[in-house]
Amino acid sequence: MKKTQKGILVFLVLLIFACSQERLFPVSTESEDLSKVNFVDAKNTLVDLGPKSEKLTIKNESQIPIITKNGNRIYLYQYHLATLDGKSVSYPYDVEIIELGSLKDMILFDKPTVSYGKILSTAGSFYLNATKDQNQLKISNLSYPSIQYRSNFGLDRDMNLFYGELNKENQFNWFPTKEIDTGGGPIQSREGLSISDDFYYIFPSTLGWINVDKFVNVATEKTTMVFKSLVPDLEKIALFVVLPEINSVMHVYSGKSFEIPVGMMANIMAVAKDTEGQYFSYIEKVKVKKGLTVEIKLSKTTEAELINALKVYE
Amino acid sequence: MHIISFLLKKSIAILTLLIFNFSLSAQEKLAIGGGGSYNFPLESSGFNFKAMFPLTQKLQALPGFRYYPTSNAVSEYFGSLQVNYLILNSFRSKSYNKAIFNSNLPALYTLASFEYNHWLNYQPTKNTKAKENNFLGLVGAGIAYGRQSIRIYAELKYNPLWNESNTDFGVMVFPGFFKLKNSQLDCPKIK
Repeated sequence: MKKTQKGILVFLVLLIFACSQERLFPVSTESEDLSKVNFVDAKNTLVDLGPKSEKLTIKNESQIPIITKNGNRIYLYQYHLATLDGKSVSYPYDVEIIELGSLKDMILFDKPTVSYGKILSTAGSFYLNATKDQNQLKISNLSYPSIQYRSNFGLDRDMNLFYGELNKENQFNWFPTKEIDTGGGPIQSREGLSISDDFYYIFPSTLGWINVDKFVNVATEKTTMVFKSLVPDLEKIALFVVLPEINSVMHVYSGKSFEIPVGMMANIMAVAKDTEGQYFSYIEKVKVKKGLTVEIKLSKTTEAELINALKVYE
Repeated sequence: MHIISFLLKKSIAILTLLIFNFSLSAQEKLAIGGGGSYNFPLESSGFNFKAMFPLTQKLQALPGFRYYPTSNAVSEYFGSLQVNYLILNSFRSKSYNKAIFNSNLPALYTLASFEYNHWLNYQPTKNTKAKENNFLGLVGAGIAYGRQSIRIYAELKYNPLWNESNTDFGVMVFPGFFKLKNSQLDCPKIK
């Protein structure tokens, strides 16, 4: 190959990596005095922005499988369900489904991919609930329902099944199904999950939040990031660290992130809302390094701009 | 002043020759095409249309249009005038109204593109150089390969003002080649 052609090849490779995402990050042209703004609590900031739930009444077997908005198939027959005191259930019953098929959905629904402080790489999560006459049902001990789930993130044979819960600090946490080795060793069990060439097949033993995930086991050193905000206080800011390389998102509580691999690119997404419904945001892309402190400087934005900025995580 | 005048005259002469060459023969050597576009940092997907006129054996002019629809975070369109300089394989006139590549090798070229950009869902961003309407200069390289009548192309372009790169790829068709393939318009062969 001639020198010119080699030069062009090197140039082409370089220019793919020499790229700026600045046009994705809106800034306000107005200078605002945020000290006079009444902000709502962070936990109420993103309410109503996430994907809407699907609610339907299953009257007979002909409505099964339930085909969701995202095209997933849920096989939830009456014999899969029981009342909380263990009695059998007959048709009709009500089903509610919320699908979080992208990192954008997970941010807007505030369902980060973290398990006991360890970051997870996700293949998608969803909420499945069933009630009869407004009474909560549970999965019967006799048989589990099955869900044919197509992930927007592709198939990964190391994935496992996790269930979601609020911990005692009222923070959302995913806990793995039992017998999973979380220490980086070989997977010992995949309770409730099997993987074909095209789909994940999920057999949940409980209703509620369900996630197909795996722990991120990278050999590189890990560190935490610190966040500061002069106005408003951090508890008024819904603060996320998005790690697109590994399909992961964490909610930052109390100004300190969980451990993140050093050298990884992280997108900081901070959102706040005032009592009038006005949104404020701050977005920054950083390379994770030891001792990194990020100062959050919110500026006014609109709901449409906020959703637009999150399109990169669809 | 003499040098400037000389350069100006020289430029006008070259431009006249190029336009003359274009108007005489290139209209029949026109290629048209289109395909997909992708902006790497913004992860925007769109499509492009372009026409290609040979200016000389090595130079091609390509007016074009590129559109990123509203399904992307940044929706915008570009009107462009691109100039390709062939560094591998050249373009030559086969007859009065046909132009072909010299061999079946891929054509490799460097390019410069002058573009007008209209950002449809503009909002002030961290990139303060990007406005609602912009004039841009891009540089890059491309490759084209195929038959004389139809060729695929792939180009990588870099916008130094915004530090963004994008690719255009698609199919280019030479309608004149189809139209005149079996016609009697070519000069008869001398036996």
